[in-house]
Amino acid sequence: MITFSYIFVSTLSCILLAVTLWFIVRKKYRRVWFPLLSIFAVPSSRLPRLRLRWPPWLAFVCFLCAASAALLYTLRPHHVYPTAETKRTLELYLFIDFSPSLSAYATLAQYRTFLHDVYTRLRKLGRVTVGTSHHDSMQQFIHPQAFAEHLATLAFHREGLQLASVLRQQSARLSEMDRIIIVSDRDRHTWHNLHWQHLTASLHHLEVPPLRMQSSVNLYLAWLRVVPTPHRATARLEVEVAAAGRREKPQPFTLVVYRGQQKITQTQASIAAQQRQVLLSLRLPRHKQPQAQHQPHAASQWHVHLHNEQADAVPLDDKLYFNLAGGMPQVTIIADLHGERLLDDPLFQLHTTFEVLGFKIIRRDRALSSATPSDLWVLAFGRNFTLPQHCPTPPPKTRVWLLPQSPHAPQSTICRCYQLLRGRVPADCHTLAEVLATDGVTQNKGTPFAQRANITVFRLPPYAQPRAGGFKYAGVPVLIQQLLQRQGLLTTQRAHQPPRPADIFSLATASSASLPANVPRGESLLQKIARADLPPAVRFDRQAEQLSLPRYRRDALPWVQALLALAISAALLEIGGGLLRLRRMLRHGTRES
Amino acid sequence: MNTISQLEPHTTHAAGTHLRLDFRRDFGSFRQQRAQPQRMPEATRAYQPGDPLRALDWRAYARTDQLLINQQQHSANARVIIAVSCAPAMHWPPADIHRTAVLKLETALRLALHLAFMHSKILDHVTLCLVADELQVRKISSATEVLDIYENFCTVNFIFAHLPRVCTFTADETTLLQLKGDAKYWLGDALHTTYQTFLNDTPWSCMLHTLSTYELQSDWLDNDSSYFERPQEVLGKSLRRIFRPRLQQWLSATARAVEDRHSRYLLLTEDTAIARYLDFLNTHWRCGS
Repeated sequence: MITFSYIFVSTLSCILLAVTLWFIVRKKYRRVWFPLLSIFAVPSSRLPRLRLRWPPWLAFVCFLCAASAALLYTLRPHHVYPTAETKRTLELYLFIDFSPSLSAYATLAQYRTFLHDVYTRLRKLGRVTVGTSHHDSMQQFIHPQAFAEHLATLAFHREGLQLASVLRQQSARLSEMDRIIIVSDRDRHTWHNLHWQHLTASLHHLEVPPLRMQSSVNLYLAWLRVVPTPHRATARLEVEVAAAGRREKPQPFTLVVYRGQQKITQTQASIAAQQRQVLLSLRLPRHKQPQAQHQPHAASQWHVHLHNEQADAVPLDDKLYFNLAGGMPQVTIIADLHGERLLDDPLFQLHTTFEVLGFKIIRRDRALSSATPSDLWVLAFGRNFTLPQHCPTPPPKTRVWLLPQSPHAPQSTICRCYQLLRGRVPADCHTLAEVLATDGVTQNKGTPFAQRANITVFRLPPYAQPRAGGFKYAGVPVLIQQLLQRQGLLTTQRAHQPPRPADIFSLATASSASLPANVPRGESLLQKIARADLPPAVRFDRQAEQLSLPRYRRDALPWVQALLALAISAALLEIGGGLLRLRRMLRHGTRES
Repeated sequence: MNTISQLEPHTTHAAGTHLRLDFRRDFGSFRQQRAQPQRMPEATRAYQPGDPLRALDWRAYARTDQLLINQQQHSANARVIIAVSCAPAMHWPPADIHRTAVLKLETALRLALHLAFMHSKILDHVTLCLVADELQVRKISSATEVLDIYENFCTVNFIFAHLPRVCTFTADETTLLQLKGDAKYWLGDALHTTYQTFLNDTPWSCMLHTLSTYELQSDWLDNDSSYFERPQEVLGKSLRRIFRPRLQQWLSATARAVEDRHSRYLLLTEDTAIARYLDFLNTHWRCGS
């Protein structure tokens, strides 16, 4: 059956209309006013407004030539040539998405069966290279059984996936592929920022059909925060549970906190039908609170598990791993008291800064036992500072700051205390810089302190920096906070947040995380992108047409040349006619003249 | 032959005719109903059917065997209303039909001023009305005034848009119908039916149907030109076929409608001879007397 494109039909209609108009001339009558007609009963008849005439032949022939050229152009005539690529093997790249949102459509076994079926079909078309969202590698399998065995080693990962990142990283190798087939769902997080329309490669999408009983509701752990408490042995968790999808009734759930396999605590709650999220607070009991773990292992891994009593779309996001940092850090300040008035105390700025940063402060005017639990010792040297009373012995194992209370404080005491803390016999020393230099400590350019092991020595009090350097008292908390973070005594709020990598491919290049990954929120929202915004879908009943290499090549160049010749001849004819008319006018003048 | 297009207010005669004001009048053209016997020679006339027998001059009959009437009716001032239609259709024919064609309005105004002059001459109270979108009413006080108006109209070639305002006052059309008169003249093309109401119930009324020569003949119609008057437009060759029968039908109907109202009717164009017009006036006035 011959079908014509819309542009051809519309061009043909326009040309037929134009040819008709060439023959039609508007009849213009001399109109005369005749008042007597108002009393004549004249039978109604319309005056003919148009009449036919022969058009000027030269212009009409030129128009016909140009119109024929345009008509043939819209018909898209071409020659068909067999291509050399007919004998070449079709290179197919099959990228398989194992992101958490896929688990809403199929169980792992169902997904593996589906993928095996897809792989078997594609093998009939060409050579299939397989890549998965677990890692960056590409593999080719000799036999479908090998592919099945490879699939058996894979499962849904907890990290998110963004296809734009995948294609960007694999672009060099993808240039060798004829067709790229992405097996995935329509998750908005996965397809975010993938402008496939601008890719030169032929990209296709194979949507995973719903293979398991699908739930339209997804309850997930959206957010978690460890709130520091004054008690070192306790911790408080704030957990936000969110729901995606349409719900008709309240959704009850149980929240259980585990450390490894050990259940620590649990609570029950429910989320109302119109509620999007609910915030819960959990307090971990004192006797089960472990010490701060910087390098957690599987047995001491903390996680919150959401037990949903009803069907849940994405099971992977019901578990959230997190780091349980220690309680409120403690600082011990040993300094002379200058009076009861706050403004008389040179350490008032430092004291306030530690308070703001959430430290528990113990202030003494003489040294305590070094066995006193404290995360930081601050020894502020004044005029009355004496070594046996103020410098703790034996040296504490935690971090120690040595600083003068004022810029004019004697540095010899600081110097001897430093030597004592370093395990040496205190000797007389006049300048602190000399001692530090002999100890191999050099001051960084621009920094007001020097550091050796766990001892930090301040040459000037941090709250009395020279104004010439642009220092302001308002910057004291920022300076102290940055110093504490640098020394590991203070963690940023982001460090408390459980890791939720949005893209597993960017995670591979980043530093290794201390925790197992959590499911990013985008994978839990069940937001789908429209099919019209996705690449062309692969349909197995038409796969040969879509994926196979072109067997023939269409070349319209001979036709374009012929049409161009026709259009040029029409233009030359018109110009020639115009020149002849002009010549006649110049020779004989116009009729009136 | 002098035609209406050459008529002037003071024209009283033409070839073969003469405007004869042969009835006796003392003062004005309105004849009183009460008659008195009079033996003077100027009061004697031939008997006409309908005359009362007691007015017969039996002595003269005995002498001459002729039935003579000795009776004199005294006359008085009559109120004469002359209405001229100045509707847009009276500004026809346009210049694209004939460059020097006389407008219907000019014909009507010449006739109206002539009537006004004649009646002013015999001391009637003449009111000249120009009926357009607004009604212009001019009360004529003397025949000389009519001549002045005529001179002004000649200056602007009787084009209505350029005519000097002749009115004593302006009013609307209903005022025209309320004007009381002993004699009424309507001059117009009868394309509108205002004249029927105007002439109603007036014993001495006259309709001078003023048309253009081009409206009475179809020779000038062009087959390929179109002729329009809203809401219709007709091609010339179509109009030619129906022109004469429809025109005759309309003229007959118009004349019948006027005569049914006991009025006199005369069809005039710019090419009508003045003599015919004067004959009509003589007959009309004699009948009216």
